[in-house]
Amino acid sequence: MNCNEFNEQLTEYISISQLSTEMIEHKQICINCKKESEQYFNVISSLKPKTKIIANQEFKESIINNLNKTKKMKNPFIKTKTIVRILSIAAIFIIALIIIPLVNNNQENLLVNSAKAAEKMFEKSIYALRNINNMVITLNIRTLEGDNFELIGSDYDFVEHTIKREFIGGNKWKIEKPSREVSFDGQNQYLFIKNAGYAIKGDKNAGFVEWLKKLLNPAELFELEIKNSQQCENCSYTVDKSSSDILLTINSKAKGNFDNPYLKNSSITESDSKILYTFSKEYNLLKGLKVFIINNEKEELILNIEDIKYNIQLTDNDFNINLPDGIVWQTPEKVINNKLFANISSEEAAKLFFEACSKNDWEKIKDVFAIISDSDNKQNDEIKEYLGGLSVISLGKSFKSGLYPGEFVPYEIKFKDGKIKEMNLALRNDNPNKIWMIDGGL
Amino acid sequence: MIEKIVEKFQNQLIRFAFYRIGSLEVAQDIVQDVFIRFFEKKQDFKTMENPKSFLYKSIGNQCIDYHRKNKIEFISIDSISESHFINNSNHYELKAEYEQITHLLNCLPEEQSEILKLRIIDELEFKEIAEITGIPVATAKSRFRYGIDKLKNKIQTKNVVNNEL
Repeated sequence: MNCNEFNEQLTEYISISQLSTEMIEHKQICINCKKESEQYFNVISSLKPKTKIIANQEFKESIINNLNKTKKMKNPFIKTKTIVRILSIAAIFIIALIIIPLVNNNQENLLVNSAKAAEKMFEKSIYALRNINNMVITLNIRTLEGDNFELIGSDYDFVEHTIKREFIGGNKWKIEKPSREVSFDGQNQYLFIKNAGYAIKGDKNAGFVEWLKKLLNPAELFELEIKNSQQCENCSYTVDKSSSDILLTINSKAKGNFDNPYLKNSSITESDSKILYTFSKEYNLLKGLKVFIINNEKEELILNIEDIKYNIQLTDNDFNINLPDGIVWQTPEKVINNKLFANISSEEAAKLFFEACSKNDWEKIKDVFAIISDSDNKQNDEIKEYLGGLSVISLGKSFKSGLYPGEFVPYEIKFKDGKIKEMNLALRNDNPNKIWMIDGGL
Repeated sequence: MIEKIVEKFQNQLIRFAFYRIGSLEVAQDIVQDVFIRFFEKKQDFKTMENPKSFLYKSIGNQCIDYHRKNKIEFISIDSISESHFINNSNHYELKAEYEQITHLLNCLPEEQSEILKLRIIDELEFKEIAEITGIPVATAKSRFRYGIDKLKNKIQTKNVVNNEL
């Protein structure tokens, strides 16, 4: 699909959740069309009534009664229109309209098991978010302090994260945990890996955070949940209004290919999970979120949000990352064209990578292994020292797992100090030149 | 037959009238009136090819008549709405939403505003909109697109002004 086709087809949709797969895919790779569709649905959302009007049984009965009366009273000396008018005006007093404003409805059941009820709750919250300028979320995730923002694991301890988000102006955001900070200033994304002393500046689409980014846009997250609720066959929904808050629970099965289960339970979407949203009854805003991974029928809490502050005083400084002395922002080459790592299998790419490490040939791999940059800072030297001179004991057959777009190559290596490491090297080539990049697993 | 037709169209027609009148009671009065006249002409509606289009057109005309009449009698929509919405918080929410949407649409030419209402508020397909308004589908689409583009700028400008403030 090209941009013209996208724009032409866009006017056929009045809900973002109805977009065709082709359009969603195009939107993901085209910044202009993504922006265009965001603005388009913003207008649609501004004009779409959230309060439903539903006539009750009496409305219909009143019409039928009026028709019967009109028939009986038909008189050549009285104009039909006048009778109908009088009757219909009289009917105003016996007709009641049930207005379901998605905000309060005392007649609703307190506990509803249905995707439709969940959909309504999400719609209400999306509507409530229209008045939100910013938010600060404090959350705990079971992960490793020093690892990326994607990793989760039930064996890990909780690590506190903070998310700051500005919905107006430049749409700035910042996510931080003790060892990493990532931010967006409206133009670029910045990632600072504190323990590696590595600071990287990417463009606005740099994938420094993936699934966690969903929490930056609650309205988009809820749109996705609405879409899922309409499509997901392995999901169940419960909305409980019996307590002081509204509790919405979703149970769902892992998504992805798990012929090889390496990534099963490594992220929320790649796990059987239970997600519990807590909304305030008064404002319909998200108050809390708990995500449980269900492993062997046991629920394990993986992510927990207990505090979200809305519309508080934030300054530009809240979204900045202040680098320590001696560390500067690195900008990776935008187009990687290391032909050595193109047109080969992931196994061959892994072999090339380890060979370069064993020969300390960093020039050969610097653009496919982003953490080794031109800079000669101390931390890069440490990484080179760690990997340099290793020898490969064995390389296994590559495999795919879960939703990861790349492949994993099992390896066993011996470091120059004699230590042996056995793991899976993660490589991905989803870039324009199909170059294999070393993405993790070291 | 009558019951089925009323059930099928009542909610959307009341909403359609409400977003042209601004009063829920008057909107339901108009819809009732149109339904009754529609069913009185039994022969017509049974053979009618597209009753939905007919109902929308009739209600649209009634709404225009209502505005004309009330213009002469100097009755404001607001005062009518207030008197009927009193003591009902849900009605107030509905009215607030009506005012918010109407305020946005008021900056568009009438022909564009009408298409946006039919497409977004009434959720009608362009083919249905073309039938109701008597314009070609392509014209309905282009008016829709122009209207959206104008509102995009307006909403963006509003955001920028808010930020600056």
